[in-house]
Amino acid sequence: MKKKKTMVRLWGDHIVISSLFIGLAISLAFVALTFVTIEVLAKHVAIIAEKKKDFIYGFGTLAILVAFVINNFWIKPQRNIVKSSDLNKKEREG
Amino acid sequence: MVITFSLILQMVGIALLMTALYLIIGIIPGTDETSVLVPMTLILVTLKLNPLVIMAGFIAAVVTLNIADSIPTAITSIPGGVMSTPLVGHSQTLKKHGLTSYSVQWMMLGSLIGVLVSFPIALAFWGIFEFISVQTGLEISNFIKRYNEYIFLGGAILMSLTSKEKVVSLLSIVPFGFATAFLRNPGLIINNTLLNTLIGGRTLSMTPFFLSITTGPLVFALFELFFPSVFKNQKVEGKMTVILDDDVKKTKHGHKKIIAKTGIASALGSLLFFMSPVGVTMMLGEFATKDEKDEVQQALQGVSAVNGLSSATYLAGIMISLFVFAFPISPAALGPGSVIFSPGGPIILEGNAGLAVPKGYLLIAIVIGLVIGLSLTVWLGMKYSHKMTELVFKYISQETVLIFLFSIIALLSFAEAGLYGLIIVVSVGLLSGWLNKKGAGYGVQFMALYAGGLFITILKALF
Repeated sequence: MKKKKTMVRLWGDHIVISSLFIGLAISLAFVALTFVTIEVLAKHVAIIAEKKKDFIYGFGTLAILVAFVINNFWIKPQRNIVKSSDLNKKEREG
Repeated sequence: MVITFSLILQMVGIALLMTALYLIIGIIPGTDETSVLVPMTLILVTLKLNPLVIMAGFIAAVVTLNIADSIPTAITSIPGGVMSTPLVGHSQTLKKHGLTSYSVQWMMLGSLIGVLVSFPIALAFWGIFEFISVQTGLEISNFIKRYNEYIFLGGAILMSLTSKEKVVSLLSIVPFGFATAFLRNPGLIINNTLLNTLIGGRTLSMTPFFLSITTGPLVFALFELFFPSVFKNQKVEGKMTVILDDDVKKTKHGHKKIIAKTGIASALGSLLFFMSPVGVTMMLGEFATKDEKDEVQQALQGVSAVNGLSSATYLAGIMISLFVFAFPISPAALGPGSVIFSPGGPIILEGNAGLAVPKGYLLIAIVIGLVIGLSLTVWLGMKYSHKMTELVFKYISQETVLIFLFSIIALLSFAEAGLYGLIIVVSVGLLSGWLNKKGAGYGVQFMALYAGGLFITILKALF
């Protein structure tokens, strides 16, 4: 039997806590990887060393966007969408 | 600075990008305007974009978010954001009468009216103050520069007195202002070896504190889940059922009256730019519907006026703060615009000494942001509101948006001050979120943050 996910109501929506933390870990891992890569590269490339902070902000944002896309693939919205026209149809039929 | 064709293209590009982004974020239920606007604006600032490009992007984001927030409210009765909460009752009435699509159209028109009314009012304010300044030789920004900490303290007290929780708001000013001023530069007060090792002689800019205050309620809501009683309360089973209304009915209720009421409410809202946008929207939104007996007419007036008001109070608050005072005098400028109005930032000079960019150029950037944000969102909203809501609700999860926001906060605070920055953002965020829950809103907290230096000066003078 499939294990039930623990869900809470937050910011007006239902969220799965485990998905939130795993997704956050993935996203932060991307950010950390960006930091480390730029720190290492800054030791060897002068232009990166000069503008290290700008590189961190730019590529860090890009990493977060990539993580957002990846997370959106596996974290499914916890919403059941029902169209009112379908509801009315069911009511009439029922 | 010269406005070149390439700079105009950059402004248009960023305005389009922010419109697309905030259209999606706005439709996602429950998102708080300040929490979602500040991190992205900060990213634009840290990427060192041209101040005009930042301004165009920020205005497009503000306008789009205000409008997009109302779309899910009309279609699903779930507010898209804090500012659209007053819409819930009216949109439910219209839903009951099968007028959902029609209510979306009036919300869009309301926003359009709000912007069209508040823009000239803000310009008129600017003109009047320029005239007074030329005639009397009084430079308002110089005056503010001299007394800015006192003005912020006065503003925090005034804002507390007009808030719902007066005592809590008043009592929070000194401790919050002092705590944030101390954390920005702990070395000013104590000299401790452990503290010095952790901080490494660093002084912090306002950035981590902006993030703490704006995301505080969210951080605190998550923290509260560690308490079993709160967790039990918040725990839910199964998916949330969202009913999407897909009717296309119209009605011939008094259009002229709706437009007139929205226009008057937006004008009054623009004049009350220094008050809380949510409070003004609630108060004047009720006033716009008070004398109406017909349920549908009342609800149509309500949705149009509330949307007009939220757009008008935001825009007037930001434009008047920028052009007249070069200082965040309104809650809209203090909260969502805190990055734009940060002293020493890309637009405001150090010590609130005036604007870093000519006012005429900033006006061009505002117009570009407004035209793109407004026209695109209104057009898409009028035509595809149902489709957009369905797509966002179906494919974008709330978790990924929260992760996106938390990651941006982590990136900005860690890049600013390493581990210390992260600790500060989380701890001040918890304090700020708790204060917010008790009734001390964003406005009071931001004013206390700006006035913080004054408390340190007083303390040093006393001991």
